[in-house]
Amino acid sequence: MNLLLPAFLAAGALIGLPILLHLLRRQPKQPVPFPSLRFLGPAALRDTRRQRILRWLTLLARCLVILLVAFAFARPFWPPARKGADRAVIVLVDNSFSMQAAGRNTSLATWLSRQLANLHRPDRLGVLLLHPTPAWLVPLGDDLAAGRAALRNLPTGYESSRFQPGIALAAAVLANTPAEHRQIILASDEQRLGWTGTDFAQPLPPGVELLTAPPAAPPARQAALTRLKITRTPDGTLHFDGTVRAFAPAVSKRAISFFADGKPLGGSVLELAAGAAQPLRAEFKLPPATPIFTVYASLDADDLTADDTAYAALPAEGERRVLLAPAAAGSETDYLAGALAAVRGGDLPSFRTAPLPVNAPWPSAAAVVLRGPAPFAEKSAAALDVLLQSGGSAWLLCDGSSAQSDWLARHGVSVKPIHAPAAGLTLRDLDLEHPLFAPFAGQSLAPLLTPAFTQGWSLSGAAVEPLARWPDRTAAIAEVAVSAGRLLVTGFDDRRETSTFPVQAAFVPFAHQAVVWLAGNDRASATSGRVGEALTLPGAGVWSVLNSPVAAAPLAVNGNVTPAAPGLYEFHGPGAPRRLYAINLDPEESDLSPWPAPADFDRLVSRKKPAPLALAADREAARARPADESSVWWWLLAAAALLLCAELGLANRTTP
Amino acid sequence: MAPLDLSLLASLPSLPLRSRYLVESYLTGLHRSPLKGTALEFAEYRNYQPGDDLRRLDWRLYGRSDRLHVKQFEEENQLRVCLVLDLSASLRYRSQPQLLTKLDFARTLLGGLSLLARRQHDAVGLALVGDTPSAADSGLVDYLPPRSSLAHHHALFSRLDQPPATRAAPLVEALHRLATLLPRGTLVVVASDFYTDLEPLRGAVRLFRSQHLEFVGLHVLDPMEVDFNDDSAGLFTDLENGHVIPLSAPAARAGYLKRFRAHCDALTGLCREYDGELVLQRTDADPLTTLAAYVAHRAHLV
Repeated sequence: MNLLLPAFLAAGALIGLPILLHLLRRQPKQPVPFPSLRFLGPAALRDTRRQRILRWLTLLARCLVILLVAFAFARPFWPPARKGADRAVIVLVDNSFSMQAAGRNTSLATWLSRQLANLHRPDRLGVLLLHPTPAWLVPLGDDLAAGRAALRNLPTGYESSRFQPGIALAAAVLANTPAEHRQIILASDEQRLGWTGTDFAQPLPPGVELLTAPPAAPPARQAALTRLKITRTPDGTLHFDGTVRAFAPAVSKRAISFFADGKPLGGSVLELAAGAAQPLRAEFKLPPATPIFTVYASLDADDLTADDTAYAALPAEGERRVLLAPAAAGSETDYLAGALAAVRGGDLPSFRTAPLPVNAPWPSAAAVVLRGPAPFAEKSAAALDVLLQSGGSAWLLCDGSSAQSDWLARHGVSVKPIHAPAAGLTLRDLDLEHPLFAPFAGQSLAPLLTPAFTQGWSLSGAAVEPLARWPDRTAAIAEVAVSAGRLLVTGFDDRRETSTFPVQAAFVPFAHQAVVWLAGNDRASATSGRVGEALTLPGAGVWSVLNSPVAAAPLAVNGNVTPAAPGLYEFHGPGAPRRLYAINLDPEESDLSPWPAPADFDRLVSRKKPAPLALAADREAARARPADESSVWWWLLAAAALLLCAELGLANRTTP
Repeated sequence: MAPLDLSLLASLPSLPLRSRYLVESYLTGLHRSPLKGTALEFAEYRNYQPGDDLRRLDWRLYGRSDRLHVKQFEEENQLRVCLVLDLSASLRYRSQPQLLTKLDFARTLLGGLSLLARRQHDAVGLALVGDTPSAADSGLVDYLPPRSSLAHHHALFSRLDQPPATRAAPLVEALHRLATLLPRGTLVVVASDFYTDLEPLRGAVRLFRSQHLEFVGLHVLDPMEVDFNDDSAGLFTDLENGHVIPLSAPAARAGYLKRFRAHCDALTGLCREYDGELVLQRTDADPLTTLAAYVAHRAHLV
């Protein structure tokens, strides 16, 4: 039985009133002298006891009347008979590439068919694909055939495992599903990576069970190419730098082949130890004039072939240049040039810094760093405008010079000096969503908030998009849309005299990230990405496959794309050079080891008593039903009336 | 009889005054006193026979008829009355302050009867029934045999005026004892609430009849005892034995009245069975009926 208006149950608290009155009733204490108790002996005691019982019965009747009336007004109803809503099952399908390991999908499909064998109409079945984001293959419903058909051939993908979002979605759906047994079946290999980040202390809604597949058998032979970086020296030599990680067996020899633009370059043999990362290095001498754009390396096949190939794309010549305007006159140290030159090696993209061309057009492929008044002289200002009109990017470090201010004013940006206290100005209100602060957002923001500026300029204007503010909440760092280009303006410069920022550690990653972000706006540079991660594209165009294990037709995209398979891709935008992308897999997915503590799965199942099934739905149904069909409350009112009559009779038979 | 002012009766400070007021109220209400001439009453004439007392010849009749006739008078009979007062603690009860306690009411009644008897030159005795230190006394705290002298009357009144306080009263034993002490033909007026077992009392009343003693019971009761219509609830305490029971009077009323009336009916039946009489006397009712009953008895005996 459920209640349509459960708030009326609160009126049941009114039973406290008769109870209170009953308890407050004067208890006889004073002595009453009487000539003889010979006629008031046990019989009188019995009468008195009978009166007491009558009073209690009266109290009970009063309380019941109140409770029945409150209950009646709460509109109880019996939920409509659910036709066989015994089970509601949502199968979460792990389509990460680890499921491509030999035999995993087959054994999982067999296990699933056994689990779903006793599912009959009108039980409900839904199939939810876990990656990249949870998506329904078959929405939860009574079409069991569609659900079983979807599960017969489990779809595979190249995503990395992440179970929590899918489990949360399925649990939320089941929590509102009217069924006696609600179950989530996780069709997965229980990989460690998939459970990472799951809060096992946060259980599922009460009544929702979680069934996990038995752990998959460990692979007999498994290694992965987890990293590949390619560089080309001016003499034409291709340098392959990568990492191979072996997972099984303990020691094995693996052959590796290298390819450039689809043509084999050669191969080598690596001796691998389980669990250890083995560096992979190779060089191939090619004629200097040979254009090479894409390369990949492949291990010989093992139990999981998806992670045996790694891809890389070469940037075109002349890309990744930073055109740096000269430092202010009289500066002893060019901190900005030093910061940009400090990043070398590792996975971070490096830049070749060059002085800003004078009397020559500025290439739109380069990131231009503007400081001082020189870049805003007549000819330079024209080159800057052309750069921005052609979609280029620039970073302007504001020093308050009139040339800068005038140029900015022409482009809708007003620059005003800001009063700096003795302790100096600091930054605040950083836009952590912006890529400029991405390296700091995951770490600590303190290095960006502590530098003190003795000079600063506030930025304002319609085109100004603040990324950080001064203490008076005016914009200190802003992104400005100018023509087709992108302009980053900082309300401070790189001089040591005006701030402590250039000598602080945060300056290097900040400057580097600013240039990376601006260079990312370059339409001609090659880049890389991972399967399942959204990739920002420079605009509308066609996304097509160059080399991938999954064939796909060219796809029209507009601004972004989420690659579903590893490989080499190219993007063609209208009137822009092609852009090459190397998409690789998440290397952590290659570790097929299961979650080490399966007992944690039990912790996800709530021990609380499940709420009444589909209460909300039943209430809606009860509201929709004609009044004569849910007449329980009328019966309750009638019972209350009868009890009231009984109470009157009892009250009349009791003495005050 | 004029109705008696009970509040005035209760406000009178002493028992003699209350008794006198009671008797005077009774006597002034009669048109013709039934007590006049009760000492020597003419009965009939009969022919003179030798040996008759010549003083009883009616000479006037002899002058008119020339025959000798002797006057015959009915014999004068002096009534002996024994007033029995129950001194048990249950008689010290009154439910309302404007009423007399049952004991005071009974003393007033007995005092009035005593005065009436005195006026008729009847012999009046008094027995006070209560706790006695010796079992041989059979509950007779004080006993004055019936006499008609003025001194005796004063002594009776003084004992009736200040009776000793006792808790229980073995009424049955006292009646048995009185049956052996009183001469035949004595009218025994017992003022009590008769809270005693009826079977022993039956034996005593039966003994009275066998001893040719007239039994009149004055069943003195408070209105609360008769109606039990109080709303009080509390710890009811027995005045005689001190027992306490917690109860609500309204709750126990029906059962009490049923049992109490059964007791009264049985008591009345018992008295009638042995030619006795039981007069119910509420302390809030006119006590003159009691005196009328007494006089009726007196007339019956004359």
